[in-house]
Amino acid sequence: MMMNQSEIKALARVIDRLDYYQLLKLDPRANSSQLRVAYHDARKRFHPDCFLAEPDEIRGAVDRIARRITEGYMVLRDRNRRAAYDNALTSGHLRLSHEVEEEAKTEVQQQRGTTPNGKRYLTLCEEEERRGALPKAIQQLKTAITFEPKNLVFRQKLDRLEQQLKAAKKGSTPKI
Amino acid sequence: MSKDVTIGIDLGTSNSCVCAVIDGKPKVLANRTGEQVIASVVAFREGGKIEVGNAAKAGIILDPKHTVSSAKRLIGRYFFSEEVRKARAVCRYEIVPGENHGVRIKIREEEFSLPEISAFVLKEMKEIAEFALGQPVSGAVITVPAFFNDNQRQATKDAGRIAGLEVLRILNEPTAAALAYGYGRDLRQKVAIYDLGGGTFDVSVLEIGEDVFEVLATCGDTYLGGDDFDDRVIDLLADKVQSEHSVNVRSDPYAFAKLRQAAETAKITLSTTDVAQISIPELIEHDGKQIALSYSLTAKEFDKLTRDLILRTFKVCDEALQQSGLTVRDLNGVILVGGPTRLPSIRKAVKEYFQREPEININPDEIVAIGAAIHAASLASSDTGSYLLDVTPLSLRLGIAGGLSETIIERNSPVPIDHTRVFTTVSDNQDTIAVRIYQGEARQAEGNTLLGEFEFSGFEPGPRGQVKIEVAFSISTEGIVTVQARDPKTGAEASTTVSMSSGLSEEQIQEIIARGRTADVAERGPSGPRTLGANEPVPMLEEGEDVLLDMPSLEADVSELLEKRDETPFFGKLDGDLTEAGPTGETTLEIERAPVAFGGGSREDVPLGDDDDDEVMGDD
Repeated sequence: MMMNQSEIKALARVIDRLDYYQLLKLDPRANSSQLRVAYHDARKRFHPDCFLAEPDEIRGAVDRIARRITEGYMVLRDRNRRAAYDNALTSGHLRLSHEVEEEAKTEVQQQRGTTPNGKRYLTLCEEEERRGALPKAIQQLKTAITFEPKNLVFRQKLDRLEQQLKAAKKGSTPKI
Repeated sequence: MSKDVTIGIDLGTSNSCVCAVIDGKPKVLANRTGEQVIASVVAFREGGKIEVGNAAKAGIILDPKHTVSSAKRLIGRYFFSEEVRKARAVCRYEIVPGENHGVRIKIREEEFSLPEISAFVLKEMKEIAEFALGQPVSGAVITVPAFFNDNQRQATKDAGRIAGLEVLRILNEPTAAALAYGYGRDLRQKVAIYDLGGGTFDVSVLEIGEDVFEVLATCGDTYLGGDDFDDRVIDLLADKVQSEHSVNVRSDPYAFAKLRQAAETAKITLSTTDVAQISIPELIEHDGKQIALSYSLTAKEFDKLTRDLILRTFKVCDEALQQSGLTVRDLNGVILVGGPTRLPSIRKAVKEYFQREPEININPDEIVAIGAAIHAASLASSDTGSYLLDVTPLSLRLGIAGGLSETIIERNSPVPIDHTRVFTTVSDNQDTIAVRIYQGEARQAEGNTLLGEFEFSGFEPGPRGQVKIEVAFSISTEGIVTVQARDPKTGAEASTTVSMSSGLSEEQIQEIIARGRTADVAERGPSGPRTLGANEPVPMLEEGEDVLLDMPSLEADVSELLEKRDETPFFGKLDGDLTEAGPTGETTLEIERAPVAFGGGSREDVPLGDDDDDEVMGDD
């Protein structure tokens, strides 16, 4: 299982350019048991215990790789974190940092509002929307936004409703 | 045989054991008198001689002031900790505060750190191995309870170095046991290791897949061990003497030591029989007469006395199973480790809990040392036939504003692992941040163990919120923690291998090694361990000397210390200001979280979320 020194050094050099799937030699569609096999395989290849007699430079490189393998496994084995990572990957983040993860979490929370009043007026807005009363829906959503001015999900929804209203006024919305 | 012989040492609270792999087979090594289980006891004799092991054990009764036992309970602890407080109440040797809230053992005006005490035991184990193998030994794997924190691991590693060993690896005891159980057997099993030692309890859940030994979760209680079972018997006997003769045995160190010995013997007896006869003809002198103690302790009564202790172990097992995502039904085996697991009451309870017969063909006193030796041999040959994937037992936390802490690396995460976070300053031109690292599961910082603290001032000051400081936390395969702060702009760095709080500095270790105090052990000569023979003068207390003189002030001492710690650099330096902050934690001392530039992504900085979500970190 031992890797040779130049391979290790080369991998340590490019590690910041690899995503977790590349690092674990794993298909992005792999299931959890395939992930486990890949994780064990990677850990075996880069286990710090196997390199005790190597020079510091090699041991440092192995350690770095091993830590990154653990990091990748920790993210991919958790369904929610894996989803957040896959999403972050599309915008170029090769690692799931705490901040990216928090952002993803916040987004999920903001879907339904983070304050009691924000949640209440969002529900009222949705009721009006179902009835087709767009101006009233917009009114309710704007009230919701006064309680959660930083909620980006609300603002995006408001934009969308206003676009719909504009289109409706032009009478160009086809009826299904 | 190869030139480099390596050994595995199980450094236990009550007993230690050493093992080496010889011609591919692990062999538990015996001392000159044929003993394989060596008491972790260090006796300091008059004239400077030091005795270790079973011979030293007599000193617990004969010379309790100069005989150190159960040192493992104190290693890596702060002086004000609960465990040290408890030890001061029961131990007859003198436990005094050392630098940085550390602990020292004072023997005849000479102070020893805990790593030095443990080094005496390790040195003895090394010599036993050298005698048995007939050649020098340099490298060793030393085991620790899985639940040991970073301070305790570092201190154990220091002990190994002081003993003249190259510590190849600090290994978790349950992991070592699993290795001994599964090595070379090509197993595919999920197992639980139930490890009740003299002073600690650990349970690890592992998945063994051929050559991979993966710890799924480990949980423990470092305040629970076989000694606690002895204590219950001691209490029973002491109360009996108190009610029958109105004599307080606890106030007499000799009588108390005799009780302790009798209790331990009774416990061991009950591992094989239903009744233990306790008989101490001369327990204590009262009104000029010797009081004799005689008692028949039945297994049933002992079980009743210790039932709650056994139940406590299963609470820990519940937690470990829950953390590993398994139930008892998923397990293929249960392995018992540690002398106390020989007790029929424990075996029965374990069988009930896990719904299966535990493995009984393994010697619970030797299995850890055997696993350590197997690992030592494979590390030395770089021919690793097995891969250990362990976890960190405790969450790694960072102190934040309001006396709180935040999890950085969750407990039971695989190791090695690291995690980088970015922080920013909140006051303009702020030039220092304080980084405090804890281990534990409490949100309140004080509810965890402080591993260390350092100040970082190497960054370029700027307007509030503009300065970015990267703090990288990492845990090695041995469970040892390193933290590094870095200014990505200037590249300035400050780092620490965290355990600096009560541990020894590198200079101190070198000084101890240079002083060569441990050499005394070797001066004993070829005749083997000396017992306190008939011709030897037994060190006695001088007449009228009251060893308990310092006892009444103990409580006062401790509360004084607890008060003092608020004034000292390690504790509460920031809390005084921060506790005044409102419940939202919004103070001018906060450091807000800055977006992290991770992995070379091109993401722009985003505005921070709601204020109450913001991460805060105290500064000066």
